[in-house]
Amino acid sequence: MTDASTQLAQDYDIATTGEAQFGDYIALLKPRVMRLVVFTALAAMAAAPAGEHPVVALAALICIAVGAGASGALNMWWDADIDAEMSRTAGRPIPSGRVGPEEALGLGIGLSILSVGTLAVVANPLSAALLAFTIFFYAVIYSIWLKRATPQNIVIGGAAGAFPPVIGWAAMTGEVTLAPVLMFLVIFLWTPPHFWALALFRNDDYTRVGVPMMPVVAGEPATRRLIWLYSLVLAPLPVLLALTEAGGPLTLAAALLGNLVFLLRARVVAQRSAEAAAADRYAAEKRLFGVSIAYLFAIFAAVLADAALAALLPGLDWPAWI
Amino acid sequence: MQRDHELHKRRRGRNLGVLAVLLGFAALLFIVTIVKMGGNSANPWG
Repeated sequence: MTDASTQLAQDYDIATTGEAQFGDYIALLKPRVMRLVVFTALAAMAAAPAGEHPVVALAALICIAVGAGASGALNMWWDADIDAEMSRTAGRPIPSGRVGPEEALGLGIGLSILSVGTLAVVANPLSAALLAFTIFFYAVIYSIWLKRATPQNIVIGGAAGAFPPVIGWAAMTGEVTLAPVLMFLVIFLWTPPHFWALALFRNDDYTRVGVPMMPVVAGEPATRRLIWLYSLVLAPLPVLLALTEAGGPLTLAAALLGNLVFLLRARVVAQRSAEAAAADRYAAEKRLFGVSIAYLFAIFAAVLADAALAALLPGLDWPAWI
Repeated sequence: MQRDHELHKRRRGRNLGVLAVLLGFAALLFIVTIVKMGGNSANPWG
């Protein structure tokens, strides 16, 4: 009997594609993307003038993180076919067979409803509506509709990643003012140069699966020019953010220093030829990709630090002070 | 008598994980409720 039950279990094991472990569900929520979401939303919540109770703020932050995770699961459900063919994504839970597609779809829809509903209750309807729109935007408008249809996919998809600070601000204050809009614009305009730098040195992957990334469709020279153009448009925004109620001297310093490094790196990438890039295996593009991550981190870390500074020095009164 | 298979171990880990998440969710809602109802809600006669 023991042998029979073990045999049965083994047969079952072979018959199913795989039994998901808890970690596979976590992987479906894209924890690395979630980290950025939590960080930017937290910075906005800390910088928001009207403070909710810390427990309510924590609950709202968890809702935003879970909502972002849910949209990640929906994205993986839809993109399982192309994920299987790209080296960067082949090990994800669905293409590797550890989680069934319908399980990912169920998890994505379930967590979306749960996170939006809970945020409406613990914070306010405005932030819940913004979270619902963000999930819809990322899962349907970006993943299902635009990603495989237009080389502007990254530009439009960037909006989904730019919403978390707006949701965090709305959860704390019940409104959306200039400061969270500037935070949105910083992430929105940062996304294209960040991902196009990646696409330049990951071009083969995207070409193979037919995702129309900018270097695939418009070619490398055009992508390099666009990286420079977007970097120029991006540069003033964190400076403006530093001058709002959400900013402060640290944000201003991070914005100015960050712009200097980012623009220098983007200029190098913009002026290079494809041959020069191939010769050193896209070293400058990889460098820009790394610098772009540090850039966004520095700006939002500075917003967070300025919020702490304002709490420690209530007399600073930043926007009036300048 | 060997009743456990690798499958059961994996399932147990997953079930415990889901249990922890559900308990955490319930605890979070409980604490938020206490906070939203005001400081004295845990002791309405206090």
